[in-house]
Amino acid sequence: MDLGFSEDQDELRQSVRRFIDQQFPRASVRTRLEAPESFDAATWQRAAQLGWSGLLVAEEHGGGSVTSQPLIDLYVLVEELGRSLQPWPVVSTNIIAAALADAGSDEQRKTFLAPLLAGEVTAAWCVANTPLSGADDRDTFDAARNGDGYRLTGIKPYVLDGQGSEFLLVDAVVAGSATRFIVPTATSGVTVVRRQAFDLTRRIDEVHFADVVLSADAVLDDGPEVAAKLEQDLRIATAMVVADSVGGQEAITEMAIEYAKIRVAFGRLIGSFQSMKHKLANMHSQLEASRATAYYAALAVNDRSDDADYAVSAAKSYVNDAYVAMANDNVQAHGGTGFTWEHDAHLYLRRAMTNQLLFGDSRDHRERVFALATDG
Amino acid sequence: MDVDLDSEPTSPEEYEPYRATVRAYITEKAPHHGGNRGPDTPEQLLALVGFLREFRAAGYPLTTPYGIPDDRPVDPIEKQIVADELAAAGIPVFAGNPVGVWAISTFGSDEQKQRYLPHFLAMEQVWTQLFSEPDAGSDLASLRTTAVFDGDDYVINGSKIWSSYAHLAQYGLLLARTDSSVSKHNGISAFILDMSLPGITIAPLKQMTRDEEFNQVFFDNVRVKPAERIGEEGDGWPIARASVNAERLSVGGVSRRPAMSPLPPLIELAHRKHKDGTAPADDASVRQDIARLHARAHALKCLRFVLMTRQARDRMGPADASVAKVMSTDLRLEAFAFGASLFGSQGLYEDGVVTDRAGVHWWQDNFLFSRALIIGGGTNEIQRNLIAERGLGLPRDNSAAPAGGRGA
Repeated sequence: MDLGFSEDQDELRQSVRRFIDQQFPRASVRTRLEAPESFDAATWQRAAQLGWSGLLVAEEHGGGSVTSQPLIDLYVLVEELGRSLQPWPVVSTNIIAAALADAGSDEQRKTFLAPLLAGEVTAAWCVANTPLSGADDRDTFDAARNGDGYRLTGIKPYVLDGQGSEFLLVDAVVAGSATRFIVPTATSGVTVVRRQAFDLTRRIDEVHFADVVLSADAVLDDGPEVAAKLEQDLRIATAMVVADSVGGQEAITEMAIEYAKIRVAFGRLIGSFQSMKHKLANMHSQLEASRATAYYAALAVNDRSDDADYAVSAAKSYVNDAYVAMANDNVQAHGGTGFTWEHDAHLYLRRAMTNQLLFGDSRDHRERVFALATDG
Repeated sequence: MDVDLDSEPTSPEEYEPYRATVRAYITEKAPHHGGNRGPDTPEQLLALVGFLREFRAAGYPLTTPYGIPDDRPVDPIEKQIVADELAAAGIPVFAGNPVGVWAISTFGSDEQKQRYLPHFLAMEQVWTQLFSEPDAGSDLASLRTTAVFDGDDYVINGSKIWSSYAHLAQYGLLLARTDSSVSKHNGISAFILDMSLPGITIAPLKQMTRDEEFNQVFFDNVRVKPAERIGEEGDGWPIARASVNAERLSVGGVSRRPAMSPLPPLIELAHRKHKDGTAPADDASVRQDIARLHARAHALKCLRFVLMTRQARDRMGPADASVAKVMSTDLRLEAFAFGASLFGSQGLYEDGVVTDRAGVHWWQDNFLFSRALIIGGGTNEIQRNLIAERGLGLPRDNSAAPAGGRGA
């Protein structure tokens, strides 16, 4: 029994951190808060060439993991991204790439997978409206048969990085059965509408489908296993939101500690006041428990364990609630400075509250925790 | 996955007959006091110790408290099976507080190890801890009990408090001041104390739970041989700190599964139907609150495995034990309080038998006892100070501002 990262994974973490420090540190993220795109294509391409896009894709299809635990590798990468509020579409890219490698026709792999892995294009994931997908009444999307092909109508809300994407993975339910489509974003009738996201470091769009007519070859996967594959992709996406949160928790804990060691009030370092010590001790404790829980969830999903759903839902609710509480504490620990636009504290608070909502909020995941705990 | 976080015991199939034998032995012979945190009366304690002694003599491997090394070869799977089965039956694997034995195994002389360890492992001794004093609790280093060397013996005078099972123990780990002329941390020594020595008086303390597990112990010119000192004179403080840390890891549930987690009983309670056919779980807020506690308990289980991994890799941090202790004791208190609240107005009475979780009294009693865990082994407030100062490197309370600090 061993619940710790391997040396190769520690190494991966260091290399990711170096890349971010050199190519796109938090100060760079800041310069793009109000820009149309949260990242630049050239940097993403360099990141993709390091293998960030294909950790869940087999080598024969152009991907490859670092260790024998691809999801733990992805976990390490995503934790580091969350640490410095990175905008990269790493999770959706990895999920879409794996879906293409798994079920794509040769044509689809050639057209979509190869450039996606190379970072030449990006793709966005329009998730089906299933429990814990994060969708709600705003989702008016519908997909139906149309002769030999299909017709897509309505709105897919809450799509990460829709604008600028080359194509979409659209999860739909057609006549009761789960179906996955690959749809070029330039397809007639598809419009990506930019909304102002509460999380200033991310772009969260709506994708509108105005009677989009697709031929049968737009289908990526409609076999009997699709529903199960979607479930697993949702587990991965949810576990990775949690990983992002742990990285953020670590960053704000360090930030608050550092400030408590330099800021003086009443002739003393504020870190010598017991009320500050207890606040920071609680942040540290929550970080420790959160990382353990998040790691376990990623491991459970990686290994497809029986308790994966429980592990993911417990982690999603516990870690993200802790992240929000800690991000609040971090603002408070910085006093008036923490309330300013220029300080990064609000960026973490916004990201924490966003992570709390993505792929099912804490309340929904707690319902599942209770149900699964009841079943045994 | 090779990590089992569930209480549902699993082991290779060829061990199933062994498990059945263990279970049958426990069912037949274990004393059933129905308690949930250890024996409450002298009779119960003696019955428990007697059972464990026979159990071990029959060849079954016990998990030693605080990681005290066993003196017999042990099959790890058999050991895990025994631990699971004892935990499932609510049987503790030791009685009293053997932190003194841990100190001997870590800091004692070879002679001390030979004299005490085999007897303790054979369940022939109950130990107590003689650390806290009426005026030195969380601020342990202020202790005032003295040990004055008169040429032959150390002569002990003073008083200790909160010593669990001192009235039933044969030995104690004593901290006493051997030198008042040096700083308070440097003048302390650690001793093995035979509790039957002349001059020792033990007065039980009744707790808010009605139990009398704690004691105050008075020393009036108690004579202790130099051979009973652990380490050198003045080594007492680091020995005490390490011992408290070992104890804290145990309270925090790092080295042993909590005897009975409150969560499964909470779920059960939530589904128990009222007369009108409804159940607490029909209420979404109840489901939410229980799930919140459940996820926290799960998080602590995960943390426990991370800390065990760190222990195995020799990478424990100075705050790790405190983190586990604070989080697990806070959670226990809240979980038992929540369980009691599900009984509604029945909580106006001490309804039911204290040993039966079907009644509110079990929840009330566990809730009250949880207070002891939040205070004992260094209050959770002190733990948070330790986390901040030793773990995070924050300045001590009395530090003045350094030159160059920022401020208004």
